[in-house]
Amino acid sequence: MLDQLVRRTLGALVTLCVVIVAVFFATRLSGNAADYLLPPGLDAETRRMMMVEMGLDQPVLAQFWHYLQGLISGDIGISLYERRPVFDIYAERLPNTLTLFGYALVLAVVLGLPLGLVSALNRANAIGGAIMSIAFIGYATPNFVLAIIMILVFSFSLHWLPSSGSMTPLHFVMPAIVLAAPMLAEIVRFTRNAMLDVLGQDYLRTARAKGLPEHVVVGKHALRNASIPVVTILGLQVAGMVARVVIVESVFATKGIGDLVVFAAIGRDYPVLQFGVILIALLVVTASLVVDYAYAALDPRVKVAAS
Amino acid sequence: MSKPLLSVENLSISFGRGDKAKRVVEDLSFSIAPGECVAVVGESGSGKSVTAFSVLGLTAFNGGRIETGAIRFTRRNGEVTDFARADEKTLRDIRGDEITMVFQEPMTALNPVFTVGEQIAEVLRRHRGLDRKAAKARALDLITRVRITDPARRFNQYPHELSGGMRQRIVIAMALACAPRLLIADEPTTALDVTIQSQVLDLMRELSREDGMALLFITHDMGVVAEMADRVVVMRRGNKVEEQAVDRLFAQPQHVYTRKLLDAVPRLGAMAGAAGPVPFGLDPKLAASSRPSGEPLLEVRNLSTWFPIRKGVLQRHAGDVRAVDDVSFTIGRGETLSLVGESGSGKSTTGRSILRLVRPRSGEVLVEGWDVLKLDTEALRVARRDMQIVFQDPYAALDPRLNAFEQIVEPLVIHRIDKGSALRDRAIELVRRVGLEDEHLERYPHEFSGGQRQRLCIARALSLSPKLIIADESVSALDVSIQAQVVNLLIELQQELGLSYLFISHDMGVVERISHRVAVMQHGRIVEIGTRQQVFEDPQEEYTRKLIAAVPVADPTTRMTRKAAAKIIEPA
Repeated sequence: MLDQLVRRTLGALVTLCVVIVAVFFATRLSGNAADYLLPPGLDAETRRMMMVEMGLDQPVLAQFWHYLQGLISGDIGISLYERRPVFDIYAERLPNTLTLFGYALVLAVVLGLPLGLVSALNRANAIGGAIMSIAFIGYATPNFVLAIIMILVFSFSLHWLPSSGSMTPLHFVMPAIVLAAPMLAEIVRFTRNAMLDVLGQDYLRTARAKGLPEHVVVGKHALRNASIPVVTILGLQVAGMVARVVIVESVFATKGIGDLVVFAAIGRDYPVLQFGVILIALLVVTASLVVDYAYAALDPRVKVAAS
Repeated sequence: MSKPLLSVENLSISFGRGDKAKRVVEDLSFSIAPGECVAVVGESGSGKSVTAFSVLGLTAFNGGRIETGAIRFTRRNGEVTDFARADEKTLRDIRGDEITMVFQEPMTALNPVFTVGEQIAEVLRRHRGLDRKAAKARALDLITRVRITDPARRFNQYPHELSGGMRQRIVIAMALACAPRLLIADEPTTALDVTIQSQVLDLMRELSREDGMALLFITHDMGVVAEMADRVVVMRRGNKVEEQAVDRLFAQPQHVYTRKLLDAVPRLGAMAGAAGPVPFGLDPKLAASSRPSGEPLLEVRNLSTWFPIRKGVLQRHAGDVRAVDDVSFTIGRGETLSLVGESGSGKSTTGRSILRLVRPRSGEVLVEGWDVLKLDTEALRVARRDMQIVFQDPYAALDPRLNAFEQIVEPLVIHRIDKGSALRDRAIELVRRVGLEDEHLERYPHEFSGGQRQRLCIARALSLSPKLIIADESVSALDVSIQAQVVNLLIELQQELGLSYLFISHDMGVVERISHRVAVMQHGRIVEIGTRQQVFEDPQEEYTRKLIAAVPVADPTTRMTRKAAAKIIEPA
């Protein structure tokens, strides 16, 4: 099983390397930064000077070499727009996004698992039906709609929560809820289905035949098994959150990396864009690695399948 | 007579509510004295398992309801508890402590994500209030008690790391943890190989004697009944049809249904003197049996199928599992060759290799002179018309979303043999041929019983008019009486259509009935091959003798004289 995890980790590293190479050439393919950055009507000499200044005059392979050297030495360049180190920009913005992710994940898991459990145990009555209906609505509502409704209700009418910014923990409440909603709905549905599947298994009958009380039968014997598919969903959802965070951050004006990357892409700010993509790739790859490790920890059978 | 340990009085259980409510146990009464072994016998659907669960107080979890009657159990402290009325808390205290259960399917009865040691220790913590350390020490004792070596290592293993027989021992250890007064065993050996079955039965008998524990044994296998029971209750469709001491039941069965059950039991040695296969119910000495022409249909030469073992970060090729290792045999037209052996001996892989469902490593499979292993995709498709397979599990082998008609004609459509109304005619002919009726064609798999489904699988295999049918444990999952019917069908079809069979089975009793010749496999190799008489009446190999000796004998009088088939030592 150690072999398997070592292989997964190596695989993750390879993925990252591929992303690092691909992002460089993909950004170059999308058009010349000078056309977007420099004002029109600039005379040829100034234009040439600016190109030299930004390092855009060199052959692509030489630029690529600089880029790699920079990544290794930790000097990831200067934003073509803001004219300050890319590192500083991300140092400002990344914590906000990570906080948002953290809140959303905790919210989705802490609410999702018990709700899924309760709806599985109450599948035949109104409680189960109500939970599943709400989960379905949460799943089907586009997040910008939910965001705007929340702003209208909690900021505009009730004045409970700030509608934009990222200064205090309160600022993160609404964005985290909006970011968590689809994931929460997915976790509820998956926990419920996994639980229903597990509840019919023979080993639960065995557990009852041992005279174990119902909370041990469900909370220990069933939940551990049901959590295995849920972990998979978590891994996929982290990747999904990356896409959603762009919208959420722009609606709530959270100064995070989501809208930073989008604007960098539109403006061809290569250094910012490249590093943003690499960071996101790192996040997603790490999340799926964590899922793999969690899988191995939860399900002893994984070890065998691997060898 | 002393006070009974358990007495079931006029018990009725039903499932479902309102109009759809269905009685599955009707006015059942029987009792068990301390230390006694009572067997409840019947086919699937007879209500025997439901009865077992009601004795454990688990009826409600199963979706059933006790309508009338009482289940009175005398507890250790002399109190009598009625399970039909007791509260859940009382029942929980009795379950796992005074009454415990061993289940049919050791593969699924254990929780896959906890170590087996933890699953035993849990019972002790629950009922004996032991702390972790004391529970572990006691669990290690129990693992030793069910004759498993190296308990310290086993304690930390997960169910999937143990063989089926070993898992069943763990379940037994779990059941014995609190020295129960009554152990319920629900088909505890049905899912196991014969040799393992006899070990587990021996173990249960010894342990029950040591502890003076009563046994309620639920089974459909009369061989097992003869081995284990003091008294037998025969059930059919929820009703008790007969209750007798075991010797009397076998000597003078009163009810016609009991007699039918007894007739369906394969008895080793019953075929002495017969040349070929003889259907159940017919006297082998009088019945005419088919004789194959001797002309070979299938020739397997030096067939080997290996599976690679990969290890390490780079998945290096570290060795091979030689699932099939240099196997050669021939099957003549109209002949049945049985392939016997324990799980993992390579029987099924041999069958699949012949059809090229797995890729053999080397060797030749000649069907009428063509080497199946060398054919290209198109030629292989044509060649497969001549060779069809019937699998073990008739539940899994049918597509739940196709009705019987679609299942049966699918091969004809794939091979573009028939279409339109010709399909319907052929399907009708086929279902009639396997003993089903025309109207069955419109039904879906879940509307059929296990035996009917297997008939459907046979009809599907027959649709292409094959010359060879590979029957891979095709009757193993069926009740004894249904099994007898399906075996009889196979024998009849062979006589009429001149089919050849490769009959893969671990059940020596059935093999003796159906075979012309028998090949015994062990560790991927054929260790003995010969005519049925040679193999059964004069086995040359120790392994063959062990397989034959392990079959439960459906005769209670031989129980004590028969020597234990196999010593209880399982390789690590």
